[in-house]
Amino acid sequence: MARAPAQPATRPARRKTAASGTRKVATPAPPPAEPLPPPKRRIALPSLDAGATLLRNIILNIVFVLAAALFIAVMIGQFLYDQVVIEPIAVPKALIEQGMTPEVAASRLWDGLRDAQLQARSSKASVSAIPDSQRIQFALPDVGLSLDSIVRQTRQFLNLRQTRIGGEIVCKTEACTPGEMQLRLRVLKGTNEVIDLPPMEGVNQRGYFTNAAIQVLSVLDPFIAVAAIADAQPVRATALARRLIRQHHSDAKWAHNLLGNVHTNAEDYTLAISDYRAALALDPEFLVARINLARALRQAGALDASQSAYDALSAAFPDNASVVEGLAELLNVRGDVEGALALLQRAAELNPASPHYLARMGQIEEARGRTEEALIWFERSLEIDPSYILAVEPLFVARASSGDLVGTEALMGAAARYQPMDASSQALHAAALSFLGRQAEALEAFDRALAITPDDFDLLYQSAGLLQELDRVPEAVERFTRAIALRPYDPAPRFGRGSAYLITSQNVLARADLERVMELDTSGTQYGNLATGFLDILDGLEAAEVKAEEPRP
Amino acid sequence: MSEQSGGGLGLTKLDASLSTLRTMIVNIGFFITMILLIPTMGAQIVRNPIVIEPIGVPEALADRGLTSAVAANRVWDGLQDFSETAAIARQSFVAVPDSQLVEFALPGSGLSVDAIVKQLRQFFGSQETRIAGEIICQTSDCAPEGQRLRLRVIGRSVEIIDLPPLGTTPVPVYFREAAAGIYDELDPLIGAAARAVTDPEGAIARARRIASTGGPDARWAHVLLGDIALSQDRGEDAKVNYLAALADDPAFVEARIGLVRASLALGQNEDARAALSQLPTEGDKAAVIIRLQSDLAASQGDLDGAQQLARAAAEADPLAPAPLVHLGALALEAGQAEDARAAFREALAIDPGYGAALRALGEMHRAEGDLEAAEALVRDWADYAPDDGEALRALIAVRLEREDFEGTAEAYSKLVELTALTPDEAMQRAQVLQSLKRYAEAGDAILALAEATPPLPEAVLLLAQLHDEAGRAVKARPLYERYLTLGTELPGIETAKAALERLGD
Repeated sequence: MARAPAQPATRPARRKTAASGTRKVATPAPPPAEPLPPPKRRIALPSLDAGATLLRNIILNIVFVLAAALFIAVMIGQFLYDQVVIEPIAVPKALIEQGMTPEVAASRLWDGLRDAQLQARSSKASVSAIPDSQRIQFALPDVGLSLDSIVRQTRQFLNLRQTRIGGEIVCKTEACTPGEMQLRLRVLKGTNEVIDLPPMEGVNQRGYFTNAAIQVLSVLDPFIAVAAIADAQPVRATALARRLIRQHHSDAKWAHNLLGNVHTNAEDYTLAISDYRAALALDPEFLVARINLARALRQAGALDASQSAYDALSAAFPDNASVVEGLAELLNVRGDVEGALALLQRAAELNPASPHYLARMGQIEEARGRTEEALIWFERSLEIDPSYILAVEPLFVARASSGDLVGTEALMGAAARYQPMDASSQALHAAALSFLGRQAEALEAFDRALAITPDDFDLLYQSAGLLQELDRVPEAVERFTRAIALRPYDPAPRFGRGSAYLITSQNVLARADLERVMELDTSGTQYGNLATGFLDILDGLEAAEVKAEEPRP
Repeated sequence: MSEQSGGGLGLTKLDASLSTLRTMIVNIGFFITMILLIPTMGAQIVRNPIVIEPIGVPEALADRGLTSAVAANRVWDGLQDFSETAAIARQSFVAVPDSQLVEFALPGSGLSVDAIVKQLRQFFGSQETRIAGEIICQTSDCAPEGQRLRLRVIGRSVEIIDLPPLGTTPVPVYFREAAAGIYDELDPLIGAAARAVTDPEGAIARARRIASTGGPDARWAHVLLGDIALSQDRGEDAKVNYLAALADDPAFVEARIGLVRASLALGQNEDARAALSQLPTEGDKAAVIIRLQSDLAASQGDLDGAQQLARAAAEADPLAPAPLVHLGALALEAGQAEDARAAFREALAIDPGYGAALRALGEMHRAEGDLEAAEALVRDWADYAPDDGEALRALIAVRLEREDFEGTAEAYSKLVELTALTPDEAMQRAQVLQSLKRYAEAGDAILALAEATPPLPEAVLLLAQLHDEAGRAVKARPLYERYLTLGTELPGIETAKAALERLGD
């Protein structure tokens, strides 16, 4: 490249050499001269400048064309991409001081959208929403014209409205406690849909934002919202799914599939089959519904129909682990246990990350009385997922019933460590530690569980009992009080607190609690009887005190 | 040699073509910008949205999260909320908060398209309307009792909307009231229509005023007057108003639909048929018109035809349960109980809380003595709308009818979390808990009533009986005695005396 500008400068020199050669034809040939040294390249500045300018122009033009092409591609991408922007959510001053800035609140809503989609457990791709703060902002320097505003204006003009989610958190007082914190969201998609949430009371913050996200999704992607509430509110989910079907929504086949799942959960297989069939009528190649239909037919006892459905599926998808598993279950129902086990093993090979197939093999072996083999399969399943409930449960029962408390604790400990955010795993581990007499460790495990679900009555009650055993009575009283607030008419925590007060000689408080236990226990449980005994002790103590205070004659 | 000169020529050519390409790109970009910019500006000038400017708020409110922009957004929400209650198909104005407007500034000059549009509007004499205002408090902590909103609708003139103090009014309702004031200024017809249900007299007065002015909204005002008259069973008045609207505009679909309704209500089938024949069976009013055809067929005794048309109406509006309930009612009239049941079930599948379908199907179940099925319906409603107190009250009623006291107590405990119980409900809850021997819970349910000033005598007696039954004579006795002091003609006097006698000293 660097030689290019010098080329024109060499040309005249070469022509001169050739001309002088022709004029010397008549003259006798001189003695062969030594070959001339190659002509020196002369670099003329003007030509160098012209060449350099040309090159610069070319480079600039190439850069311009490339930038323009990129710019156009980015703009087209911006228009085509169905992006949902979560704008910063206005929050009160107290929340900003706690770190919940408008951007953080927007990010929390974004997390909520992710959680809601996980809750929906659906394989359908949903809307992708990103908070404003994490979005790549395009802005041209020194111009003051932002790409964002161009895109927004142009979208508005072309009626391609970009969906924006905005809103605010408002509190009743400046302290802004969760009970008085209320979120209002606006989903702007041509129209303005207002979503008003109740105060954040009785739910953790993550659950609150997930609920908000479900409501946002009910505007933007109704099917995902319906699927997200299918477990918690099946009646509502069913009605909303039926509405999607009636209005011939593009997700109608998914709605039929969801209805089928809801009916399957309720063990109403006839209705489930008709819904899966309706889904397949809309899209005969809908794999999820085909697998579900084959399974529902088996569960309904229509084994031949199920067999033909599975045959068709395995011909089309021989390496689909779900299909292979379905065939195995069918063989199991038909009594071919060996065949079922072989197919489940194949399913486990096809999907080696799933603990389910190995656990199912364990269950089948256990059902035919081969406990040793069953335990081996359960253990292999736990090698993949130490907290997989289908394998943990039978192993727990087996070890606990054989008196292997150490083994039980090891099992639950592994599950709890693998799923640190699962409160029930932590609680079971705590129970196992408690059986072993390792109260302090058990209490730590309960504390971990309580950190995840702070309003769990059983966790509070059991950990309060442990605290009392460890002689940490004030903390035990505090937990019993929280448990009483959750279940005010349960005599158990009231009795626990009364006895804690009694131990620490707070007799007045103890008497109030124990008398309340007597009122609450109308069905003659142990607490009433125990409370009567304790009250007798209190009466005795007080009588002794009175006697001691009486002046001696 | 030739290779070198060819290379130079190649670069020059490349340079020339790249320059052409660049110029073309710049030109195309310019044209696209112009093509987009001119209509955008044109649209902005024509559209003229009403801008809600930030509402001034005291610092104490801003600290709680109700900043100026948030207050403007709340006014926006209130406007939308209010206009949604207006059952009228006419388009109203578009209001946008200042913060929602997209700024489109020209490079470097500090001149925004918005500013140019404003100038152009002023030049053409098209006045922009703005809504501004402030919230003022009487105390520095900005307690709701002294918190007042004042709005200014700034157009050709300035109109002031002064609201009473917030007090105990819920904030959304307060902003809705503010929106009502704005609509009265900017679009009185929508203001009248939104009041049709809650304040029909006010709505009639407003609509008459609009109708008498003879402006473009007069025909809409006549339709509104007709709708209100029809809802009050004044068919003749309704018909007169619809005809007045049609005299203004013979192709006015809403007025003709109203005319059909009024004629049907008056039993004038021929008039209804004549009006219906002039209505199109396609378009966004198709479901309504088919439904009217069904009503006409039914009023002429053609039940089969009416059912077919009702089915068609349900298909034309797949998310509305009303046509299905109508279909069910027609099937019941024709003695086809199974068809009716299926139609009601279909309506409830769309909306498990749809009152008309719940009542109709519930009555069918009751007539068959199947209270369990009736309960299942209401239970679905309560599950569908877990925050709906009415659903829980219906569930309590049906469970009491079935003498399912456990279920009743459970539903009551959910209802208590949603809303405050009336004294009758609290007494009923306590009695249900008493029958379950949950005395402590029952006592707590009525304790406030028994300790109120003045106390509710029945609550005092029941509390005494609860203690008595639980074997706490010490607590029961003073309550019985107190009951006897509360009146001389109370129904439980004999009971209380007998109890006191039994308990002795």
